[in-house]
Amino acid sequence: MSLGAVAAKVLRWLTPRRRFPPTREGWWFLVATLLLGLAAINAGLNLLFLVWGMMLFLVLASGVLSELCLRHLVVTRKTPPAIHASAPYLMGIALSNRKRRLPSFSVEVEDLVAGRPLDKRCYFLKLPAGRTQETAYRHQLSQRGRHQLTGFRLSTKFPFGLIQKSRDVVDPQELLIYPALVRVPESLLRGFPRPTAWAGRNGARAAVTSSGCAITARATIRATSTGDPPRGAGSR
Amino acid sequence: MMRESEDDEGLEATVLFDNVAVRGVPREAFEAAVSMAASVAHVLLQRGYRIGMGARGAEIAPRKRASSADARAAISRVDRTGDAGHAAAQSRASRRSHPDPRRRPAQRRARARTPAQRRRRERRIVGSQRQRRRARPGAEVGVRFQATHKLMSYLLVLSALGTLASSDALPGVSALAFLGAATLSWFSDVGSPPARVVDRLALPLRAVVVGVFLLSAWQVWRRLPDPDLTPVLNLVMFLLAYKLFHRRANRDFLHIYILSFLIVLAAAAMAQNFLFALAFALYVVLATWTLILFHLRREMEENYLVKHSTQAPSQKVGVNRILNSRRVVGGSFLASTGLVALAVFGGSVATFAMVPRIGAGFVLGSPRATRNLVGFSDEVALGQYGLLSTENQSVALRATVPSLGALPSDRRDREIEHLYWRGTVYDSYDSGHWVRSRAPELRTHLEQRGTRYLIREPLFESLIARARAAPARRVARRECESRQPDERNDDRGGAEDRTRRDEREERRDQEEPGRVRATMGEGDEAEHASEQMVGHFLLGGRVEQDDRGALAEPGEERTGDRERQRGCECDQSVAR
Repeated sequence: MSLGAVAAKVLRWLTPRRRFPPTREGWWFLVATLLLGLAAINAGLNLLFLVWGMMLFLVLASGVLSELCLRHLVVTRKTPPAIHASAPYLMGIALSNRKRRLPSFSVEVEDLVAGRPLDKRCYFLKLPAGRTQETAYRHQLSQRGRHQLTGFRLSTKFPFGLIQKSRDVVDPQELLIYPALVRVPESLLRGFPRPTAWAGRNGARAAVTSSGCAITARATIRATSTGDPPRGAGSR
Repeated sequence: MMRESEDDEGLEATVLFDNVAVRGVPREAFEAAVSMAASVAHVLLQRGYRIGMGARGAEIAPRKRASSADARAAISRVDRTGDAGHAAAQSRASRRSHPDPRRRPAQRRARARTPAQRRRRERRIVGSQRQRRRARPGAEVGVRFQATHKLMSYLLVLSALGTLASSDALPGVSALAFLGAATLSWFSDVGSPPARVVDRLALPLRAVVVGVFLLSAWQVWRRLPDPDLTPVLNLVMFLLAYKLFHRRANRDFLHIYILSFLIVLAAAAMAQNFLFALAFALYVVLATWTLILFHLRREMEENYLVKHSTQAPSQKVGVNRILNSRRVVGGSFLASTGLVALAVFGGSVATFAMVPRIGAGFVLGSPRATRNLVGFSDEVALGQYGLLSTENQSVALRATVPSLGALPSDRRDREIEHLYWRGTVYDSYDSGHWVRSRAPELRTHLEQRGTRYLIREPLFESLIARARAAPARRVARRECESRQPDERNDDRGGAEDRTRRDEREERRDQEEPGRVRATMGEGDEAEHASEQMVGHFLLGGRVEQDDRGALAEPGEERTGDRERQRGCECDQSVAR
């Protein structure tokens, strides 16, 4: 490995790409810290500097602990076997903690679509070191076709809920969304009897198959379109 | 358009989708046709058929069930251009009862209907859980989360009270009452009998809270502009006790932490001994633990919600089980976060030691006295005393009375001894404190006359006016020469300037020993006792602001606010 690559790796390790916007409580805390610092400087109260230092270092500790939480986490996706449009599905998310000793607390995982997170997320309260946990989120897509997932966003507000630190993981995956399922009129299924009924009548599936009965007929079904009478569909 | 056909070979069906003749068909109708074709295929799959698919650009022969989903996949890719894409791009297993594999155990559970079956199943589950627990030697069995959080919250409150006790500002009766209330509130958990009593008394308790708040506000207002913080502390402790009894939601815990922090702030403002540092170190450790546990608790309660339907409200599922879990936090968790807390305390000590003290009044201009100074304060507290400072050698007043200067030195000294210089008046008494009156007629006003200032005091001027009405009255007008305390505008002015100025003043004193000039007015001597009283001088306002308060040089410009004016009154009408 060249020196430049090592330097780039070290630099990337030292300055990982993270987002850390303060939460609402975090903004309050930061404003209180600022005001307390001004008050300490203005009033010249020594012990207020002590309290001010505590608040400053709580923010710093928050950043360090949240970074420890997000490091060495591996997330994978468990797609359902079939996803139909306009029907809810459960997307499995597995999160592995590859750290040796430290657990990760309060981690949220969101799927990214074109770099933006879905409105659903998975929450992991505690992920011990060296363990993998799975959970799923429930979602629904309105359109059939290909659906591109670009990756994950791992985020945590641990330890104090002051900052929501997050990092993005690139893991593209394409989902194929089947058409939405609708209720099929029985008229369309005329000539396609239920096998259970045949089995009950003839005793065995093989016999049903060999008998042929209704399947021997060729049928052409015309789909309904706007303005067509319902009874006309599926018969010719 | 869709066409379905089937042969006579067996349970096979082919869904043909005519995606050519779609011109002029609205998109919604086209999508509805696609959905219908997929639904037909789905239903036929459920009925045991092998499904094939045909459309322009793709055709899939009927296959076995495992591969029949390709037909649906092909249908899903049909678009209005007539290209069905590659039908076999993704092979998936046909859909079973539900895509979520975790639903299957639930279905099996539902099948265990009889009580005996349920018991056997529960025994199996418990046994498997034990086996899994044994199989994980590293799994930590810690302390109950909810109990730990409650204990930490109470310890945090007690440590905050400890910081206040280290400052000697904690009223004993209030502290005892608070400790009693805190002890009772320990049993006021949600759903407990004390909590139900508190809930029943919610309205009267709120009224009491409002009453205590108003009482405290009145007590503070009564002592303005020198407020006493004791009522505020009592109010904070009362609110804290109320919140300890009323621990219902996360918001109540947050209020408890904020009130505890306010107590620590008050203690930091008043404490001056080493005990505060010890109590504060304990507070930092407990605050770190408590805030982490509070955050985890809030995250649990927010995330373990299940919406059973769109209409039904969210219900907390499993939260109580997790809150009582021993697996969330344990000894190692408390030890590691305790180390973080000690690091935080070390950082705060470093901040305390390394941040330079820029100076009092740097930001908002409200300095705080850090030493005793010579002068008049706003208040005299009976029973208290301090050390007299001799550091400040600045000349605070220079009065020139020419008629006295013309006298021989021995007589001049006698005359000077008869002068009465009024300092300040403490005319209000309250609870062992004499304070200055705020009555407008007793306040001093300055009038600029060229380079000089005339001190106007309405009350004494009225006395002078009455004295003038009497015959043969003589009112002496004494002028005092003052210097502009430029350095008051800039308290950070160098000590070098001040030293030079003091030396200059001392030289002037040596050169003009009788430099108490007076400008005599119409009269020479006072005939009324009140006129003698008028010969006063108000040295200045707040003592803390006068530590460098030399008077202005004649001819210097004066700009300044009222505080500075009070500190540099230089001309005085006096009567002799």
